[in-house]
Amino acid sequence: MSRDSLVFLVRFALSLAGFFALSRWDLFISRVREPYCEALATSVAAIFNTLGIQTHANGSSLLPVQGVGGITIVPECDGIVLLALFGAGVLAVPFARTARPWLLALAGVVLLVVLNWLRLAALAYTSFYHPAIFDSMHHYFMQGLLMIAVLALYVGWLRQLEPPEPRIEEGTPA
Amino acid sequence: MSATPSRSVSDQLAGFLRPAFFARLAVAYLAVGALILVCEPLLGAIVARGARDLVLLTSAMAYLDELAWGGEAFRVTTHLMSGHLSIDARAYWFMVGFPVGFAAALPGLASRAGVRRVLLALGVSLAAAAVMLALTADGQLLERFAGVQLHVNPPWRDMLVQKTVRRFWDLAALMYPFGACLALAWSALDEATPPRRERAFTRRSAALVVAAGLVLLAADRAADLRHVASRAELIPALQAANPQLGRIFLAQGRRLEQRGRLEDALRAYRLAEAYPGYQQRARAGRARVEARLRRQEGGP
Repeated sequence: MSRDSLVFLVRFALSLAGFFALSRWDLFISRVREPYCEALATSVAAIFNTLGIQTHANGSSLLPVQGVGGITIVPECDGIVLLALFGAGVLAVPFARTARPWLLALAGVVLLVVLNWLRLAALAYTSFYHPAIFDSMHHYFMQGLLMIAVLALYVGWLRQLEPPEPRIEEGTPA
Repeated sequence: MSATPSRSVSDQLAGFLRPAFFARLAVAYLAVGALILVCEPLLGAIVARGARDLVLLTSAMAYLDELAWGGEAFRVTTHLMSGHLSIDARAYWFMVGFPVGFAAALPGLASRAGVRRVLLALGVSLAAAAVMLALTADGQLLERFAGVQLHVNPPWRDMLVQKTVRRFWDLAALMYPFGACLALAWSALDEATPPRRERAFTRRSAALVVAAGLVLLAADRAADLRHVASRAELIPALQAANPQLGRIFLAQGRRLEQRGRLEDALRAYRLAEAYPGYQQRARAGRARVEARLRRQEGGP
């Protein structure tokens, strides 16, 4: 393994460990993650009701007004782990201290938050109307989609860091 | 953070994982998912067997009766308590499916190196799924035993399992696929290096595969031996450490008898008979159940 690979791995592991310790801190869970889960449930219910899918949010649970099904958004579902993976990948790469890489990373974080919201909405819809395939959707396909999204966003962010190709002047030997 | 960029690894990764790769990954992941659905019984048996051996190998007390695959879930039974636990299988299939799909999506699938990469991803992912399943099974059994104040392990081990299962499962379930993808991408970059390095990589990986096989084989044998030894040697130690077990088994026998689960009740009464102070009541219960069983079979 080359020195660059080793440095990348060590920085990635240390950053991830830091994010992980923060995400499991009891105070962070009770003050940030649990209220965030409730906010996710409330916002999904609001959009569903607007679209005519009668839904009731109770704490961090989403229940249909009629019929069966429903989901409970626990802290493990809030997407913080995905943000930690993306954030650790960002911090693992040395880059120039300008605003652009940070803004792009922030855009990536926002996109992941939106994707996770869409995942929760899709899971709630599945639990209301197609409960038979809920487990497969939850544990297999949605996880895969999110992992592909994290990888794609990370690689997209890395590409934006690439320095512009040197301009070849006319008459200059290539 | 360094101001001078030194980004050869990230540059290589970014250059390697192009949009076409992500399209291949999505297709490969779906294909692997479909294959898993078809091969579920076979994969389930392999993972359950591996996990069972790991639990037997690491547990202070061999309390596990069976960890087997059955109908979309892994079922855990114990000879100490009735009933079984079910653990949903989809999370484990994600651990297997995603890295294998990733390996298949990398360029050069048709080459020998590409096939080796997919097989390696499959083997390592199945082993990782078995380790995770063993931890989950251990954690669930621990929770059940804690409910009746039954101590089957040293306290430090219980604490370790509890923390591992409750705090690390979600991270590990996502971290393993992500870490495996990074390792696979690097190995694919290695394939593009000069032939001398490629040959060295092949020798090392072959040695690792052989060593891993030998370790698994030894672990399997050790687990079997331990399982046999546990019945004869470990249970008396468990009984001595948990004198309240007699009361628990007796109560369990009565409950099962009332529910008409006579075979299970008989088993619970037999276990209760080993505890001083409960033998008389356990024998009476056993005699009662045996009489009911004889009546059901049409005997005298």
